[in-house]
Amino acid sequence: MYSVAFCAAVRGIEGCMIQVETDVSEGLPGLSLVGFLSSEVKEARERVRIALKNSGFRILPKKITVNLSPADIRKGGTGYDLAIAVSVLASFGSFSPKFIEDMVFIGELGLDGSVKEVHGILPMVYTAYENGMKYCIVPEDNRKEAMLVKGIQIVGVSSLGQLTDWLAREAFPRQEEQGNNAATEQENIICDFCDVNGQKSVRRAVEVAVAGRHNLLMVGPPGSGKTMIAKRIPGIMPEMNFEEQMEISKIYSVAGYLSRECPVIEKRPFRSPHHTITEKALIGGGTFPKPGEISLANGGVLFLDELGEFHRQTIDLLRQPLEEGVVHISRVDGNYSYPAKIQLVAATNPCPCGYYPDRKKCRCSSWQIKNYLGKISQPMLERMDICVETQPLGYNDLDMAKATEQNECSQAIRARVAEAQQIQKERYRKEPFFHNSQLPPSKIPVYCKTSPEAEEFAKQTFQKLGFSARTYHKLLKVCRTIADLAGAETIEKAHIAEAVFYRSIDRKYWGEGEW
Amino acid sequence: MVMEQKLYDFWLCSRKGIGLRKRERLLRHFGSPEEIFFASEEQYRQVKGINEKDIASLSAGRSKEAVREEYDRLARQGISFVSVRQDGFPEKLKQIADAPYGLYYRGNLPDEKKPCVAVVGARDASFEGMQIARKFGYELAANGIQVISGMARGIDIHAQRGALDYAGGSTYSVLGTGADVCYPRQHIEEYMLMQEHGGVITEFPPASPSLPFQFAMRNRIISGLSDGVLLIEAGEKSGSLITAETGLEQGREIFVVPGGILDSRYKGGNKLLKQGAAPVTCVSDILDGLGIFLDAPAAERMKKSDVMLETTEKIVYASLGLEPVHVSCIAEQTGLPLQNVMEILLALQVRNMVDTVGNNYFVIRL
Repeated sequence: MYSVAFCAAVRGIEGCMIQVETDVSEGLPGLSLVGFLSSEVKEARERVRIALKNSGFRILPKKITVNLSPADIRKGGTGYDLAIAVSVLASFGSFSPKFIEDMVFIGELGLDGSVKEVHGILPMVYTAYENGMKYCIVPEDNRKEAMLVKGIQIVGVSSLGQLTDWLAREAFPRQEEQGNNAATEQENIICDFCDVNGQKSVRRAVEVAVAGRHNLLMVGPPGSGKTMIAKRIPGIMPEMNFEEQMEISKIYSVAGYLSRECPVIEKRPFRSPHHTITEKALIGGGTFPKPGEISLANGGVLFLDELGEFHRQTIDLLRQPLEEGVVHISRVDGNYSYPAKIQLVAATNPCPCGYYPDRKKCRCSSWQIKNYLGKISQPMLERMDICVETQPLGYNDLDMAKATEQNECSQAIRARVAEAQQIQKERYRKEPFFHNSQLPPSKIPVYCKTSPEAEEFAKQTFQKLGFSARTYHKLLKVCRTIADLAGAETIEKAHIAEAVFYRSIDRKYWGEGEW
Repeated sequence: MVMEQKLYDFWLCSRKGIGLRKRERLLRHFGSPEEIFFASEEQYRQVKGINEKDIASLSAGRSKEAVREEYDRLARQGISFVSVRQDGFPEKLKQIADAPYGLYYRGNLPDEKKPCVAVVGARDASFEGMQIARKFGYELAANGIQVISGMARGIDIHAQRGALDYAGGSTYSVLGTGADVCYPRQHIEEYMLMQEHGGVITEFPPASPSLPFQFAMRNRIISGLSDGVLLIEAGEKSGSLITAETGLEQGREIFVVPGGILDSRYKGGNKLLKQGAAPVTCVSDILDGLGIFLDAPAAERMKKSDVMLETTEKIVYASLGLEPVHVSCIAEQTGLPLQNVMEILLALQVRNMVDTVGNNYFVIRL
């Protein structure tokens, strides 16, 4: 007899439907699996056979062939076990094929017949919903995550026996509706900007960077609060909407980082990979592609502490995803893409000891200082729209109680950022980009209009500081963001002056002690 | 096979492995470059201190055509050559001990009619020292004095930059490498500029790499070309002290910018002061020491233009010093809003009143 059950697979962060076909015929007894399977799927043969036996089924000694179609997609992971078991049972007539035709079965089987949780539930369930399926049978442990998708009936199962019972009776019990209430009680580490004392210029620079999605580089001595500030950046980005939450949750689901209790990511992520990170871990990849840190930081902050210590090749790989907002990975069996819309924040010491240009403390030779920044590749340095120095704190800055009162909290900053981003959204509604940082050079004259006075000032500074065309364009983009924050239509003199202070380090003059 | 005199000189100066000492020995033995050129290998062997390697180097390419070819190549590279036997060789240099036999240069040699002052000092100088160097370089140039130095990091290059800042100023670098080598590399801009407003001079043949002993050797030429040597920031073991010493042997005036007695960067300079060097606090001290009298127009040029500053600009300007201060510290000190301070600083920078160090650290410009 022939029967079909549905399952789903994950490609990139999108799911795709998989048809599990089973045929039972006369011949040498055995269970064989076909359909471009990886070894963990091939092993499903043993798991399914024994799980069926231990759940009280006797498989007749016939030739059973299972095909996972479409057969040209390489299938990895353990989520097919349940669908295979159901398909096999259906082919023996254990339940009506009609009843299971609009159901999707996802889950890994244990030898005792228990159903175990799998990664990537969210995209799979979403695909099931898009393909018009009515029921989605998922492991009990994944039920909460699956229920994020509305419009499809989610059934959680904990064992194969339980499922076959329900299928035989052609009725599912009512399962309690679990809201996402738990999610809101997410672990709330309070990271607020009111904890940051002093560093007025950095605060402002961060605000500008986030408002226009400009890449940010912080340079400063150890202990001046670079990491502390970076951690607080997600908190001043506008709240995520549902689509954004879904997108990032899907990525985490595929990567297996979603927690069972709160399967949705509501807060913007903050990822801070160590500088020994490999290329694949940062960008994504592997034989079975997995999202890298850049995708895990999607919609949030990717913080590269000690930028100079990262391997050059690793960092240079960020260039293309930064521009496109997406990572493409090519494999023999197809191309995968992972979203990578990030706010890049990097930090570095100015020199090996960290105190340059305070020559009272810094005893590094100018060769050392030059070399330290030299480790950062020039193309990467050029992509840093905003560069800001953090200052060592004085004793007065350490008075917590007094300072905390004066310091602006994240909420106030977030309100201004949201407003500036709203302005950009409206301005660029007919364009294929959303933020000032994405402005292509051809559009700069259209959107970055300067007042005559500012024009003259820009000309003077351009000549005095010897800007390149690229630096100048970058400067204008930052000017645009500053003007947006001020609610100004045209770019004024003060905006240009401020933007000049955020230009990235000119390596030629760094360490020379020159001017 | 008779050649022009300069070609024999050039041939002798550009032999590989034949340095100052061996050249002297050969000249003493044979009398002139021509005689050396026509001598046989056997005759070379009789010269004390000349080994087989040197003989090979002397014998290789010893034909008129080869020398001519080599000399033409030099010209194509824009390098001029002058030997001690020719017109145009600096008179001052002829008088010193261990005078170089020939000089290679790009640009010009110092004008013999104008006074020259060497400005030397530490490579790892403080911001303050570099500011002082630039100020002196500028003011010396403004008084028609040619600035001689070694194009090294720190004091050297800043003094030369100061001279180049002044329109019509000229500065000369004495290199420890070939004239076609820019060392250190990052000074390429000044290296090129100097060839138009001054020159780069060396006793080493083209393409000579930077070897430590060559830098100590060129110091005698730096002081030799000058009428006085100005020392800014020299530590106890500074190479600039060699220049001061050779200058002293050559009978040049030694000027020293005094510094704090506890500051290690001034130890060498202060020691010279104790031995009788002239302390210098302004450029007229040097002019007096050299017996040059300020003409009125030059005095006029030196006077700082009184630029009118607005009140807030004055406040910002007053908060700056010679040590670099970050823009956020300035904002804090003055109590002005950050954006305001940024605007003012940039305006001051455009008007050459202040300078930046690193990125956003500011110092006043002397």
